[in-house]
Amino acid sequence: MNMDNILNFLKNVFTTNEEKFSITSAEGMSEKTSIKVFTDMEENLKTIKNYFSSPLNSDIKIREFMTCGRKSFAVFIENLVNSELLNTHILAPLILLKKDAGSEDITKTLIVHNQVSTQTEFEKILLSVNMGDCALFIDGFDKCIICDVKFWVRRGVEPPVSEAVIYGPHEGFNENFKTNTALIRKIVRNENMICETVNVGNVSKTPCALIYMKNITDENTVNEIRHRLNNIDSDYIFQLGELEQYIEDSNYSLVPQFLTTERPDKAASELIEGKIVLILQGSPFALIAPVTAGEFITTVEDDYIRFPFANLIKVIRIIGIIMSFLLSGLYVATVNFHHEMIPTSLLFAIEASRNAVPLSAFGEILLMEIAFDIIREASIRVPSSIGSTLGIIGGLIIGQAAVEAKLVSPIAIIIVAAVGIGSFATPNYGFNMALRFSRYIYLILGATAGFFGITLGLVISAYILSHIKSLGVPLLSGTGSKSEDNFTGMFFKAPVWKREIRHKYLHAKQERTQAKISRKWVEPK
Amino acid sequence: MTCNKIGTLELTFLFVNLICNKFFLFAPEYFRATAGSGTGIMICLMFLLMFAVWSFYKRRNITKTSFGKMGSIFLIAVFIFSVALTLRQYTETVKVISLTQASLYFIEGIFIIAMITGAYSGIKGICKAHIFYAPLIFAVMLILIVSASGKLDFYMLTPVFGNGIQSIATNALFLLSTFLEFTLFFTLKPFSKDEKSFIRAGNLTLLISFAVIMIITLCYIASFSENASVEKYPPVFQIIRLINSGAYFQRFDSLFLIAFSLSAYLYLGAMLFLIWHLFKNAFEIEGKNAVLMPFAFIIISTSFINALSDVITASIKHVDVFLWAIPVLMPLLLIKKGNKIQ
Repeated sequence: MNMDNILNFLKNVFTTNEEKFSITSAEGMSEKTSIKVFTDMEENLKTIKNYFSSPLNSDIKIREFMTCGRKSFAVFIENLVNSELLNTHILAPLILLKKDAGSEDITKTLIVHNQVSTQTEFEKILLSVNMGDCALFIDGFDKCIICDVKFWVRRGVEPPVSEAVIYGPHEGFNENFKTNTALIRKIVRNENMICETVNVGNVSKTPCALIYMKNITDENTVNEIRHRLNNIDSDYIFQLGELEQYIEDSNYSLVPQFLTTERPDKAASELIEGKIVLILQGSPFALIAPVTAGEFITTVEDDYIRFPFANLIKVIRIIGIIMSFLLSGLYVATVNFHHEMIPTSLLFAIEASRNAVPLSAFGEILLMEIAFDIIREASIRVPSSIGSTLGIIGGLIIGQAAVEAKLVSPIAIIIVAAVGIGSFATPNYGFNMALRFSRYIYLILGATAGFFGITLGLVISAYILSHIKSLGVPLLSGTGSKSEDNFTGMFFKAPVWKREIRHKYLHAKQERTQAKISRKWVEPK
Repeated sequence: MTCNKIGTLELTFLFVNLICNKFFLFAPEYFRATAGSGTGIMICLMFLLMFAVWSFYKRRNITKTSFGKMGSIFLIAVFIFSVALTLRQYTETVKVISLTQASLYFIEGIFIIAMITGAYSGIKGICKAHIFYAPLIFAVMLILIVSASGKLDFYMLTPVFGNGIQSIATNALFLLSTFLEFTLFFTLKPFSKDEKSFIRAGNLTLLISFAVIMIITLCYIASFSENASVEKYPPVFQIIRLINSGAYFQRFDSLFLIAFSLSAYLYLGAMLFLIWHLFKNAFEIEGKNAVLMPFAFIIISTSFINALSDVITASIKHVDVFLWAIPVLMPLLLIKKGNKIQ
């Protein structure tokens, strides 16, 4: 026994079991850090059993065996490891080994597995086992051998659900962290792509990949996000949506400050642009930052189709987005305050249709908006097999039946339908939620003070938006003078061969994405 | 990662709105009353004078303390009075053109919300809001005015010297008070990216303002003879009321309300911020927005004075007689002696 082990032993003797094995708090973690692997196998076995509450914990497997004449055991979690790999590449060679060997010999010459490491601290060993690794303890060794034999149950790579495209790949992220990073690396194929792993959550230790281009991305931005990730003092973080709320700049903002995507090609193209991508184990999405407002109305397909069509579609999308949050408010404002806009004959037609309706224009639009949102919410939760049925029932109730029962006027149905269609044109789900929320605000403003109230909402929105930042970059970057950034570049697409310069707000190490004349073949020979 | 500097366009649109805003109220009517059909010549003369003033000052080194405490207090008092009058005018105008059933307090309350929010959002927020909405405001106004061009009688612009050369020349000087807000342009020099950007923004501001004021005023003069426009509607609103078309939209008065209220909200927010900025610089206050609310309360209280309508009428007649001196002479206080940028 060397001196460290003696000290460890004494420390363990004078520490109560309660203190030793408390693992639910940050303090508990530091307690575990202090415990190192013993050379005595029995002591290690006892410690492991205590930590994992074995045999109470039925999926924790401890396999005891003899190797090189020493008592040994392997600890792993059933169904998180690849059993075949564990049996044939790790346990079999060890059990068959008869002559004595050191830990170095075992890791370097005996275990025919590609990812083997040694650990001395129990905290790291527990983390590895929880992640699906196998930990080997051999009597007389003061180190534990960790073999990466993870086999997480997962979905295959399937087409993205919320970002389907016609042109472009049909691969989407899944819940597996390693699959997702591999999907990005498969596209980028460059050694400058750095994929750092940061564990978030004091207890959950959820692996989070911080991905960026070493030769392009601004170091300050990378340091900032690394700093934020390393300074989250929370026990459990399981999803990117949670992580996003821990690291965003403006917590009370309606508008998201990170772009979410389930497309590896989108994540890869943003990386090349000089942005940062975050991937979290268990989330089939990636977070992208820093972003500007224009990117919430951009789809990856805009890059794949020819620029006139991309810009036309974008203009139509912008109209849809404006409709989605303003139209219902504008309708109520017009009906209540600004009749003079509408020609008399049309006004009579509208009033005639509303004549038997008991509700005011505001009341019926509000009712319909809420009903529409309920149907939308319900259609997400119900099984897909009855989703279409729900749509038909909702359509019939909201449409025909409500009009025939004189609950709402036909014009209100048209307005709410147009608003709904407009909201589906919003490519980003988080941004769509912000628009849904603001739609109610504009509706109230329109009902209260007509266009006068709606313009108040527009001005205050601009003030608020001007203060929102994504990783320190204002969301409205690029909307100022041309010297600050290119306004047209923010909202509209240039031809692919003209996209030469990266956005200035990214402070990229390499300003140019391509040569000034990228199509060399057009030059005279 | 980001700087607090303002670009040329932001600065330009901010001050174009501050200067031209009053032309959505009753300024064109007042201009016509002073120079008659010679208003066009008078506006040209005014701009030549203003360009001369601007050219004189634009390369001077202007520091934040140059106003001096007394100078700043005087300017702040003038601006507070001016903003309070404008706020009251906005409120009455909205009541007349749209929210006829609403109380003045309700309408003014909405303006106050916009004013305080704007001032609290700071120079960056104000500039960003201007870059979004100011082009929209002027585009909507000009398109609407041009749409009414079929109803305009350009013969009403003759005789070009209107009330006579002497009247034009005298009023061109007195009406330099139109550029009262331009005095504050100098206080934003520290926010400007560089000297070149600052000067370009000043030139652009005056040029665009000239175009906007000229178009609005001349179109108004060409629309109504002096005796015909007796209604208490703003001139631009009266022009837009001439438009009558379309199967889906018959009249466009409400579009004027959108552009007008956007412009008013931006104006009030920006002015409250600039008044506070002036005060902060004069008294070297480091704290953030602590003194902003008292200014807001002073403006609101002033605008709530019941007799303010009479004050507005009186001020238009008498106050402008000396207000012209502020944009012309006040920047002198800003200049450090013998300090000229090479």
